[in-house]
Amino acid sequence: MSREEQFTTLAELLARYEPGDLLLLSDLADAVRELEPFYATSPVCVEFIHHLGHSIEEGMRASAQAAPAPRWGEALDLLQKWNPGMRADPRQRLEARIASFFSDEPGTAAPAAASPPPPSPGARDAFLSEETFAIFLTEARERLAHAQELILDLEQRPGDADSLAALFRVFHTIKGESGFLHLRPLGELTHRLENLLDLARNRRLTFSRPLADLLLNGVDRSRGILDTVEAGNRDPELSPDLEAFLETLNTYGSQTQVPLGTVLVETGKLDAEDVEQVLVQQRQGNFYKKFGEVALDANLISPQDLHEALDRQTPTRTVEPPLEEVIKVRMGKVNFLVDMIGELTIALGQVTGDSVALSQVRKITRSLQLGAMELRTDSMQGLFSTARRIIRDLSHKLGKAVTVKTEGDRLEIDRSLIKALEEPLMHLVRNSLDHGLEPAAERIAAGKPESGTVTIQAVRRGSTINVTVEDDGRGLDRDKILAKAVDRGLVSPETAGSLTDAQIHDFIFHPGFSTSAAVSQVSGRGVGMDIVRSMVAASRGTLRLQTVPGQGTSFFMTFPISTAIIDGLIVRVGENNLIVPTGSVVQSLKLPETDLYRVNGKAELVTIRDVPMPVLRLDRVLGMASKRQADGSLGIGSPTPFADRQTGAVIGLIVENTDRQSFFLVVDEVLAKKEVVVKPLGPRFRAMRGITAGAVLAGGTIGLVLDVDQVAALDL
Amino acid sequence: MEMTRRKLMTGPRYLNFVLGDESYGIEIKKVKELMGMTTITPIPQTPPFIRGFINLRGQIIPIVDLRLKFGLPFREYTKRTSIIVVEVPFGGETLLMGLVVDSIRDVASVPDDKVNRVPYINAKVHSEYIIGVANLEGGAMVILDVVKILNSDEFVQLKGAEETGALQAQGERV
Repeated sequence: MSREEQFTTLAELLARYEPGDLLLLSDLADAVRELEPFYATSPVCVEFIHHLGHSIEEGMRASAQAAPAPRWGEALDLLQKWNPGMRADPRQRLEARIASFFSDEPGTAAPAAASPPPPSPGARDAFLSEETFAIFLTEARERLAHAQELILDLEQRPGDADSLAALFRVFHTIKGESGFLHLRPLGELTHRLENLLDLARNRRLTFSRPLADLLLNGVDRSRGILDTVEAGNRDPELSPDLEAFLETLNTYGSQTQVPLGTVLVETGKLDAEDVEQVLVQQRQGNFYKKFGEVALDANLISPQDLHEALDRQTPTRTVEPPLEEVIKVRMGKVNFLVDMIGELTIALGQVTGDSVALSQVRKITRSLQLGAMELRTDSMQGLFSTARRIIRDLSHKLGKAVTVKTEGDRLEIDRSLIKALEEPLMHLVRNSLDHGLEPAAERIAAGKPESGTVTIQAVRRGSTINVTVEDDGRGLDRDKILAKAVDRGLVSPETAGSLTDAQIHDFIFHPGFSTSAAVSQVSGRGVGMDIVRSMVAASRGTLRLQTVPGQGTSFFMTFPISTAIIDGLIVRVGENNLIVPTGSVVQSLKLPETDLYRVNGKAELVTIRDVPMPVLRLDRVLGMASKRQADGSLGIGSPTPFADRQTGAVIGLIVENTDRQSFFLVVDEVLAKKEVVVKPLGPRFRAMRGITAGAVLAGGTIGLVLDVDQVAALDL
Repeated sequence: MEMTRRKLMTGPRYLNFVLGDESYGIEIKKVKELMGMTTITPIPQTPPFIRGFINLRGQIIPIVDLRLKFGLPFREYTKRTSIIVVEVPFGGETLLMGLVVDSIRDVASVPDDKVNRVPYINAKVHSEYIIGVANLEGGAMVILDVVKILNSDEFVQLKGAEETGALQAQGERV
């Protein structure tokens, strides 16, 4: 590292210093010492460096309750001023100041001007370039995804002028950006796509399926170019394959439109050579200008000539509002922000008062919270769009007509889950089309509508996200699967007879199991149902299926929500605060203890409004009482805090589990109803009974989120 | 003079702390940060050496009391008690946990050849938790394998919580 780079490192370390950061002090001391070689010719400076390093280490020893950083910043500034090439006089004066630095009273040394070392010029340019490409790639990909959606929409609704205009803008923008970054092939491609769209919006082309195919192909190729750029190729070449495609685009466009050049030739304003010249110039300018503009600039035609020629082609210059800017941000930064907003909410919860200003602050914090949740989540729309695209392409390829239905486009879920969902979802979709849906003839013969239906649904239920892929196809062939399983030796012929349908269906999740004779190119890319299941399991989800022969198959994926806001009732049990999801709570009430009775000497019950239900004393059921007892025997903790419990009365909640069975949970106190941010407790606590997550409450205590189903199912 | 300084600078660094009357060290690489005492929420279904959960800037992490883990009598926490936040691998993930010790000393650099790996008989700590012993100016520092220590037990012990408590009360190591 150069001397200047070393000083930059030192400045960064100093800026990050906070009392108690032992590790940083250690790094700081090391970094200071590494300056030594640069000052080898000045014994005064070397001495100073040693002293400074030592002083920092003293700071380390005083640690955990360390005083604020002394004049280390000043010391470093002095050192930085020193140069081997200094002239004798200034050098002597500087060295004198350095020598007396540590013996001066703090504050009397003249403050050194802080001058950050200038970054080396070459480095900055290179850095900018990288960043620019990174931003461009993210934005371009977003735009292409948007374009794809628009194309699919337009295929269904060709008359939608707004979508057409929006689609035009997408390619237009990418074209401009490609020019700036000198990505020639992308520029050419988007230019021609833009042309086609121009024709379409001027009603010279109708938005038909062939056009949609062509445009989608264009989108795919654009993505391909972006991929090569991302892989490091900053100057991609125009491949022969791409050239051929560009020709196809040209031909398609020229079928219905007379090019401006031809119009000008026809009206005698230009001759053929001029047209060639303009075309070459246009290409050199990365298609930034239209044919007419280039010709105008080259003084080959007059503005009036241009106007007249354009009149022969429908004009329409639409004003283009800017696309919303998309930026690329590191996940860590987003998470930090979200966590801090959570902290703010908690801290605010401890502020008492009812002033107008305070309610204003509360309102604003609430908005911040919602905004934070939006940062962490994304909607299912993107996934659904990809699924639609796949279905469209496959249905054409396989010659099966398909209708797609989606539910839950607007469902917002954690970004990481969206990422994890993509592959399994697409495999299931492909599978439905390939194996699930029958060819048209078969469907008609079975009395079904010719067009098969695939329904994709995403819904949040309590603390899980459920994603379903359903088709109305032929369903799974139980016998065929069983035969294959026996054939593969997965089950003996004897046991085969006693298996349930569910068990037989489960065989399809076995590695290498595929009942289609030929592994089709479509879903048989070596990825079987077993892989899909393990992908789902990797995100701690489950994959099940249900099928009715002749009617169809449904695949159900369930995932736990890692981050969520739930509405909960906060109750105190012993020293702990528990959070019971309000969705499960029927009522909270206080009863005389005598209302509780025992049956068979063991189970405790209570009858409320003529309904008897089991009583669960959470203190015991969750093991809190035993923990206190164990701690107590070691002399830890406070005595059982039942001081404020009224004798004779019992406080509890009537809750219902998913099977709609009622239970009475006995608690010590009902505290509040609140929305809390659910956080994971981590894998070490996965085995806990009845508690599946936590939440940070006001005061910094951790509320334990109760899983009513688990608690209800406990062996008492 | 430069050479000696360089030599002292080499070698992996360890966070040196005190437990009872012994000095211990753990690799600084595993230490994420140090923090002061904060609100600890007790966790049911756990052995006594798991003191509870704390809130670390929005993340919920467990606190392990090393005194209790090593069978020493419990010492009440004060505002000055420090928590060492460590990062340990577990089942393919990296988890954060807080450790409570008596006091924290400093960071010591110990070259590998200065670590004595001869089996060290320590009354309090299982030998498998000890990587070795280093001789520092202030005395011997027992270098601990923090990953082994933290991964040796299940944190959730359903029926066993009471038994473990009873054992620890008798000064047994767990």
